[in-house]
Amino acid sequence: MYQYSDAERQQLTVRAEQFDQQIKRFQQGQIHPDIFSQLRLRNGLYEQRHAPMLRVAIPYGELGSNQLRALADVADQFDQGYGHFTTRQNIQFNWPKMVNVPAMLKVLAAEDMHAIQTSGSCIRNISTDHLAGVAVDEVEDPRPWCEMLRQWSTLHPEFNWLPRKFKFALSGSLEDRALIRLHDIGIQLILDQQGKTCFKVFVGGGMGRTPVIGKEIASQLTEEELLPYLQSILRVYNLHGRRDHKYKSRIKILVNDLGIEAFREKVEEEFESIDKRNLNESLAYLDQFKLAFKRHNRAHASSPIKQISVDQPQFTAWVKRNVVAHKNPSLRNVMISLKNASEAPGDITSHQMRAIADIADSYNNGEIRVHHEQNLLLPSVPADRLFDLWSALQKFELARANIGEITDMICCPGMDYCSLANADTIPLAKELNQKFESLLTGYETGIIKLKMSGCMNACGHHHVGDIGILGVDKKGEHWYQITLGGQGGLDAQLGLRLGPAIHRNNIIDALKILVETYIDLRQSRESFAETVKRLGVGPFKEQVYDGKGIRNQAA
Amino acid sequence: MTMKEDTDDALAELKLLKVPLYEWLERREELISEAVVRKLKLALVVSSDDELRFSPDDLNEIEMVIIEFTSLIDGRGFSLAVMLREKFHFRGGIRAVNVLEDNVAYLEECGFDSFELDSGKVFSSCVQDIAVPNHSPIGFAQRLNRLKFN
Repeated sequence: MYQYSDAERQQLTVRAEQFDQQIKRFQQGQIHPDIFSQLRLRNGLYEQRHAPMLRVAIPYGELGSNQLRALADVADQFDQGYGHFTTRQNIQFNWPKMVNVPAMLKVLAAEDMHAIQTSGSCIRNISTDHLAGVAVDEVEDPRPWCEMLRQWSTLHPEFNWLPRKFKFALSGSLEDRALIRLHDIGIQLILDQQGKTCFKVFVGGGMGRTPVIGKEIASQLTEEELLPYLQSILRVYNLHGRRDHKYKSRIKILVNDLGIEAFREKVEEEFESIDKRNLNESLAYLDQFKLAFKRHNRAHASSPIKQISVDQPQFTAWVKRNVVAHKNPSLRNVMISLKNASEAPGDITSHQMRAIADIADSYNNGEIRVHHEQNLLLPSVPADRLFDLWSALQKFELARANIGEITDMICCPGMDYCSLANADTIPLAKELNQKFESLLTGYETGIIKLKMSGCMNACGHHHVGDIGILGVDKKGEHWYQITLGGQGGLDAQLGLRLGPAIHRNNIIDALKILVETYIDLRQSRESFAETVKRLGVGPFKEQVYDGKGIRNQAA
Repeated sequence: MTMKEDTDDALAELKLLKVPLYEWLERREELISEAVVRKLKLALVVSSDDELRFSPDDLNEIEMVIIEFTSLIDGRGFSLAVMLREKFHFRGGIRAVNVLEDNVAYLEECGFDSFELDSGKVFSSCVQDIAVPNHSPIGFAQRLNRLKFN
């Protein structure tokens, strides 16, 4: 992992003190409430339905065990003993008191963590593939470049007051697992013919109320061109992005209004005049970053895993669902599902955080990753220690074997916390868990990516779910719009609407019909997504609205 | 604290002929003569929503560019200052008008060297060699002064 320099550590403490001062000035009436809200957002502090919420940055989703322990301490000292992992690899605390936030920031700073730029109209946390550095299909580890961009974007003098928030995602593998085409800027690491690292850049992607798939703006930038080119994109956006309307101010709207060619022309005009020498002084640090992420994965002898699995069907199921191949054949990557039937998706208790920190210390050098699908990953676990690891995780209810299945849904906080939400999401997730537990017994339904948002802002990524659910409010009642066939990846697609919105009372039945229809119509080992791709939305629509017929109205 | 309140500022202010950008583009020669006759220095007033459509030579006679921020959360002025320094190689003064105290160090790093806060307080920078913005991303240590300002 990358280790902070003393200067960076000092910076975090100073920033916490600065925010303390800003809170005091606000309380003394020296800062206008509108301005203070901008300052607090840049320190990760939101106002929510019941209490403030603090979002802590986890750069590119990588956590050390000590950092996870510090998060547990924060949860115990300043919150209600739990935290919530988000779709941008961050963690949120839902019950802090504003006056305590500077103290929380100091606890975090002691373990090199902070909440800088986790909200507000600025460059947000850089996110990446949860399998960065350990994926079988990796071309190049994106993390050194993530770190470069983290340093470039943190407290950037020119881009702290953009028209709207700005999100980056990077991927270094053949398959994109970081939704790079659904970010303001998505970067794919590729190799040129000489084997040198290059970058394909997508711009103007995003979900929200106007979902757009990112367009390719540069097919092959060199290492020396990358930062100046990104700086140019940001400058064009800063100058020309709309500031008159909150919902029209993301870069995707600007790119669509101008057209990608005209937008590219403006970017390249800026690129000509940018001081590249100054920016590229940072390339001298690249080797240092690469070294920080290099793991010396010692080869481990494989032990008879199959033999154990015969006696332990639960273990076999867990290996099948939650264990992912590693680029080193004697290691494995282990997903920890944070989708237990009784908890909100992505929630984790301080007790579980400490348990995972201890387990990581004894199984994989204390390294933990956050997946954007709101689960955790222990990378690089010796293959012959999987059974022990599974047993250890089981003690803390952390061994649910449901990764990628319908119960492993992404879910925004919805009406339970968020003041923007139109509808419940967490209670729906819990009900779905209860009902589907019995429904799915005896069926192998495989991967069904269910993604649920409580409003059009699409924090639950519903546009790219195999099944997407969007909460809408109709005269105070909760209704849900279903989409099918969405996907991330390099060939990203937005889901298609199934039909009219469905009432809260019927939504679980509708989901049940969708899964049953898939079971009826699938060919051999076809996944849900493949069946939808082959047949289209039609047969599913028919079954939900006509055939098996839900009574689509308020009870 | 990297800033000092400049007692000469009030005097310097009286010696400026402030000209809005559109007027400068329309009747440049006239304004130059007027400044000579009145023994004033030319200050170009730019709004943060203006586009910088001129050539570096257009700035030869300009003592100071004054960038008026349309609001406290308008980030465009930051880019305009960087462009004045990098693209137009402007070496005169650049003043930010209607900005937050909390942003002064960021502004300074973009090439501004004097400030009129939303509170009305005016002061200039005493940082040396401010005319070249430093955007090296590995500038964490340098950015510390931005945080220490308050």
